[in-house]
Amino acid sequence: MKAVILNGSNENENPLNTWEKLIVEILDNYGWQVETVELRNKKLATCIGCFGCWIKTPGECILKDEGREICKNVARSDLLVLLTPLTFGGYSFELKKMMDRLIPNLLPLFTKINGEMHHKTRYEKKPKLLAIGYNFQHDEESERIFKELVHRNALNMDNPTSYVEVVAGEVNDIIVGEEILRNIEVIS
Amino acid sequence: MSEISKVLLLVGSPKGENSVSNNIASYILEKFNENGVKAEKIFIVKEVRNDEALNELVLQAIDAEILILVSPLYVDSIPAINIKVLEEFYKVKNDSYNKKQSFMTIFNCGFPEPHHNDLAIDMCKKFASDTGLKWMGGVTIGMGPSLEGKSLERFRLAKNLCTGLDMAVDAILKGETVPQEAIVIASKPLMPLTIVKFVMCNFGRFMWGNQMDKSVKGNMFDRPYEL
Repeated sequence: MKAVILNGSNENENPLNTWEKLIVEILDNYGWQVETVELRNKKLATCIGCFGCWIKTPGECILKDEGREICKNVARSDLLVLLTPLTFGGYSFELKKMMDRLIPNLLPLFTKINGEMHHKTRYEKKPKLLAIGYNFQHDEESERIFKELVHRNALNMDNPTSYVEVVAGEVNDIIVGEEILRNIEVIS
Repeated sequence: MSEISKVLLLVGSPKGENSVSNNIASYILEKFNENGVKAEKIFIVKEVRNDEALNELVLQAIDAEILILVSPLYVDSIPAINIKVLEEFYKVKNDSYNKKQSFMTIFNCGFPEPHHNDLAIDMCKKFASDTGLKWMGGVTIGMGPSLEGKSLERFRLAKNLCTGLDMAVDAILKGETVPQEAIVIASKPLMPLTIVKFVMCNFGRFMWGNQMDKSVKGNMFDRPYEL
């Protein structure tokens, strides 16, 4: 089984980078094939909103950079892991620039889910979603927004299941590791 | 005469001038200018290409008394280029500045239901709270693409939107808080949702099919990646 980790950390010194290694190790132990993408080290253009991936090159972004390859690997994956510092409750710029580039995996057409409009997906296969956000201090509103955002993304990407964790304040890597392990045991 | 000194409209669409966000921003800009208030409009997409331009944009944003972000919704949230600006603004503002500023946002999405924009509005409200800006409220617009290339004033479906925006501008000009009623009116669906949902679900294939490039007509459902 394949997993893709999108690490949206803005800097080298960040607990998210430690957790990325932990997740790789745990997934590896469970027999997953893992690809990690440290987005801050990638030259990725931001989405230009042209809808070219729907009407010019259906299923592929018209921007020819590494975003295409990452998008392909996400489509092929069984698990998508998002790591991000909470940024006003949402994803960091680094992560969001890739999230915006994932729309080729959707269709322009709409469907109703619980009476609400969402896009149809291009592929039948969809990865499970695990999102882990880090906040340097506890903040209820940021955490609420983040959990709701992951839930909304999972609805729009039609992820079969989604798991979300927010770690805030002083970090104990052992406790975080146990939480991650618990999540991955459930996912696996 | 209003005492508001500087209004800055940030157009947050990656499509720049050819965007619905610009259409809405232009409408608001005109309302301020008609009332003798200096209002400017900046396209974020043009300024985030290099650090120097981004820095200049952030300084201009910090200098404004009223800051209004007009943006599309991307993947349930704020488009990446706008997050970049908000991140930089947060860094600079926290380091060096303590000026009274107010912040308002207007988000539009392709879904018919305006509430898809709610989370993006919540994030902007959180940004305002974290940077010490006075939050003025967020307007949510569904069926955004229907406003493309149209004069809002002359577009019948945008009547509520214009009424709400007019009320918001009037309040800002008087130095008052944007009334909740203005936000509610501006955020009303452009058309009855039942009808729009029916049309989009049943005729979407035809509508998008017409927009497909000639060379890929009939390829809408292509799956370029072997899974």
